[in-house]
Amino acid sequence: MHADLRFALRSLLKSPGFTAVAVLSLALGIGANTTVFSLVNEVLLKSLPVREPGQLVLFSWAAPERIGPQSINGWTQRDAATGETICTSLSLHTFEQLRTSSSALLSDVFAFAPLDRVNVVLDGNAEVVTTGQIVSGNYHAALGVPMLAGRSILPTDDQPNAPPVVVISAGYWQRKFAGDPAAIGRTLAVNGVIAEIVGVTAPQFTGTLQIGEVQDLTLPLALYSRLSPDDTDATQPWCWWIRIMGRLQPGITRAQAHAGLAGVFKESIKDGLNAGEPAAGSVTPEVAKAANLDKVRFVVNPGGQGLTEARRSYTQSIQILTALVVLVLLVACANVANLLLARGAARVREITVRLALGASRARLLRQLLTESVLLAFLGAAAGLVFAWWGRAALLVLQPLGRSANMLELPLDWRVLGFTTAVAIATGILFGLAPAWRATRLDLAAGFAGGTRTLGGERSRLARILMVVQIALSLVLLVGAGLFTRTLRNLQQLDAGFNRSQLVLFSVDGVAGGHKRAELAALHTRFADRIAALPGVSAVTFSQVPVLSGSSWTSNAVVQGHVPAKGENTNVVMNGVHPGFFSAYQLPLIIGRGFTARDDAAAPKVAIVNQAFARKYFGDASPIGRRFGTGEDKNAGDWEIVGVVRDAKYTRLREEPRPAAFRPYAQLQNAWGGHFAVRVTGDAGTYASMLRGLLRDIDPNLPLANLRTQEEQIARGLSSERMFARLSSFFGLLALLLASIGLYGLLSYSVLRRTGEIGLRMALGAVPGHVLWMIVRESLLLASFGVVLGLGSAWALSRLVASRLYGLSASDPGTYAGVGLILVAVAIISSLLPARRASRVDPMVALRAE
Amino acid sequence: MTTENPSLIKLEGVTKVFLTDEVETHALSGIHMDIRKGEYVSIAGPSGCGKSTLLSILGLLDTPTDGTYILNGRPVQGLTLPERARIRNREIGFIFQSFNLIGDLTVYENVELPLTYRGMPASERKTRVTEALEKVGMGHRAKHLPSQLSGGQQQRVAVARALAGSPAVLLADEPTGNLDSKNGDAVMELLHSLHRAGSTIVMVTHDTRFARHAERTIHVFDGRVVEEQVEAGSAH
Repeated sequence: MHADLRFALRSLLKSPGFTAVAVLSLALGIGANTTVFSLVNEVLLKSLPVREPGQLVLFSWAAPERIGPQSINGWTQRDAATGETICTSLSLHTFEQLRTSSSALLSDVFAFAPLDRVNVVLDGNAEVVTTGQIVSGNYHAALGVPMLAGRSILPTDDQPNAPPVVVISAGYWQRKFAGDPAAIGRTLAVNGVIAEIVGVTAPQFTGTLQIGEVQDLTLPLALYSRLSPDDTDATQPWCWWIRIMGRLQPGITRAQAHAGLAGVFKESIKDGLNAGEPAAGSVTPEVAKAANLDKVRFVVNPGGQGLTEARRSYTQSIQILTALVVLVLLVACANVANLLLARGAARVREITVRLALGASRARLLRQLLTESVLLAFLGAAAGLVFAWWGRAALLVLQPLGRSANMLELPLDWRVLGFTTAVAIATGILFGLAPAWRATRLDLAAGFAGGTRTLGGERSRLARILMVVQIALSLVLLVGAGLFTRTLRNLQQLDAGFNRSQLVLFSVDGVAGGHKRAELAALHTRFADRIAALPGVSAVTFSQVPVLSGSSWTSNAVVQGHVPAKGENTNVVMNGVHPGFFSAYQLPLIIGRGFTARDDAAAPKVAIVNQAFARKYFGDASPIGRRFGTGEDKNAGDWEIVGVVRDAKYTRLREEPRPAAFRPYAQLQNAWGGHFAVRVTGDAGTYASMLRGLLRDIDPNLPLANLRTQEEQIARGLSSERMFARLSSFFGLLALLLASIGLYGLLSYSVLRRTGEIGLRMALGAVPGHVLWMIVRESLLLASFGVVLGLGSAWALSRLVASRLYGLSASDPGTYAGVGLILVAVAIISSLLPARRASRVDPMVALRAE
Repeated sequence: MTTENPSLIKLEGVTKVFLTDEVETHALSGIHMDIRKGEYVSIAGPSGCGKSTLLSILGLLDTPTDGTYILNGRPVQGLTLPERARIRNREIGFIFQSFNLIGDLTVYENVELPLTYRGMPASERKTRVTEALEKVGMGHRAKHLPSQLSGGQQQRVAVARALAGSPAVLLADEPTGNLDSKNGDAVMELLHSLHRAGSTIVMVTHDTRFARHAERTIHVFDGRVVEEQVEAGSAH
């Protein structure tokens, strides 16, 4: 083995050009796979860095659609297999019940939940921290969270009258205190609550919430009523918002825990369920709720990764990314296999001599495979360097649609193990066939001289590999074309309003200590002051930011409209400042806009969009008609006073759907303060001006999430952008590899066929004949590759159809364009070898005599 | 020499000098040669005497350093590459020592090859190829690949390829060099019969036994014509 390795190394060093091209090809393929695997590792495989994560369980529930609690704060996902809604949010009541009834099965039960709005004041500087959580007092101890400094939160901190404490993350400790141990004992004002910093968690622990979310502040659950004083529903049995995990007692399985706790769970939720579908006939809501109780399934999932909804939601993206890089690796393998085939053919003499000297075929196979595996390892080593860069590039592309600094993709032992396994597998994959072929020699023929036929042996395997490379490249390029055109279609889409020159920012008055009832006046005061700034042409604010992915929807009940069974009565809602429509330049079709007189004391009014008017009133005028949300009795709540043009409200991809706007001042539950300022000139220059102005008005109310509307839309397209860029990159990479492969194959073919070409010229072929002969060979390979690739791309593109916009998965323009690109590349790749062939001296036909 | 038998190949003072690493090698020195239509000439000499260089110049595969070459009444020095290719295709038929058939073309396609470069219609090509193969007794092997034939058979196919285009002259370079004596004799007999049918043949050989098949033998030594032998009864 040692001798094989030494010979392999010497042999590779002897052909530096071949070695460089092969190693580079493999490095690109393995590097891309390692990069994506680091994402797979982080998102799908990695466990929490706590004590025995395999013993942790996460409680959740599943139920048919529309059955559940009245209020859910958290993720709900639809199980494609059963159609059920799956959710991990539960009530405080359920937490208490599970905690008190599970000691035989679970050594600990603990709860946690994100804090949606956190304003922090440190040393007089207010800032918005969006990554805070509240936890039960046993959270850190039950998990076994490693601490960097100080202590964890204790059960004694989680008492109604306990002094407020906060544990901070290692990142926050570095950012705000430069890692100063003296930070322990200092205080932070969190939503106005003064809390003492008692500890710093270890850097590897980022919490049990969704992947990519780093919880900078962790506070005891008992503080929740002080941190979010307006959330009076939190203790209600129908308000499900807390996440619950447990640690199994030694020897207890998840199934046993489920069996032992299902009854406790059922008992705990019976007062928290809604009535589900409107009850038919004489069925009372109470009877309906009781029936629904049996439809809610208690689920005990593994908890070693914390919450997994986000992880699950990224699965398809990761699958697509994985498919892209596997295709690139296959192209690289085919490329190297072709190089090895050519090299094997060039080494016929050497191998013949070895066989003649008594080497067994198995022995030679081992030697040749040692070479290919060595090549693969060299490729893997270089691939790790590419992966190191690739991780950074991938994070910039925000693969999970979040800010890059929240996700890290370390190249840990699992990633290195993966790379090693890929290296061995690829080494055997691309090395076996060429090695098998190279050692399949006829000894007698190998040493025979004399007569010859011309043309060399054109390897069918090499040509098949080339066709496969072209086909794989085409699949990748079709993907790139579809994703790039999707991105362009979305970027050029008419959102229904003028999205340029709009500066956006948010303020959180409630977290800043204001009552909800004061928000309209507070925000109006801000708006008035901002309107007076130079360069500001309009200013407005709303409950929900436009095209941010956030939405507020309700079931509409419209006077005079009887919904059909199963009719979707969902409408998009927003509460807006009177200047909203003019600031967004959202044209009013009929009726009037809102004015300052539409305040809390005035008659309740609403403006709907065209889709709403069309759906509920057809061709009749909606002005003066009334509607409400929720129950039928609310149908007369608001009078429609205007109709605005349809627009995109939540996402660019959405189809026009009914929407209703209400005056912000008339909202009963206002809390959002999302401003839009229409400016002239460079939008970026307004940031400091706006910050300064808000600091003047209220120093405890930080300005958050400052961006332009265009930036906000761009953020919403991060997934599309990532797929467009990565598929283009990988497509071009595959194309480059395929063109190098084609060039190499044709060059080698010309070399092997020199005698034949010389003969053809001796027989009267002019250079044009020979040129065309080689170009035609390339075109023939490309044609087979294109046909195979188009078929494969057509079949595979069905899998990404849901991610496309404005074109179908079989878009003929994309397929034709990519096919033409490959044909053009095939011609370009063949030109040099063809030119070389056309210059063959016909004398070679005689010279070889 | 008669007016009915004009000169087909005329060399006057042809020299060929190879320059390698500042070393001049005189492969041919002042060759004068006159070959008439219908003649069967062999060029004989030891290895390295320049006979293959001479053949490559005759076949327009190479150009002389100096001197004049007139083929079929037309001076050929100064022709462009495409013009030379055209003349090779129409006026010259090559027969090589090691046959030089293309391995992945059938016998038929090998013979057809020079005709395709001529742009000849397929129907005419078919007639010509069939005739040529019948002439060398290989008509029944048209669909075979060269690897399925014996050496003698391959050389017959090579002869058919040279004949198919009805060239003015057949240039044969050691046509029996890779054949056993039986097959060698058969090929020589084939060339003889072609000559009898009117073909002009120039054959390079170092084998005096085969050289005697020609009407006239030109002996080359150190790049010069040192002797000419005319067989009794020849027309020359």
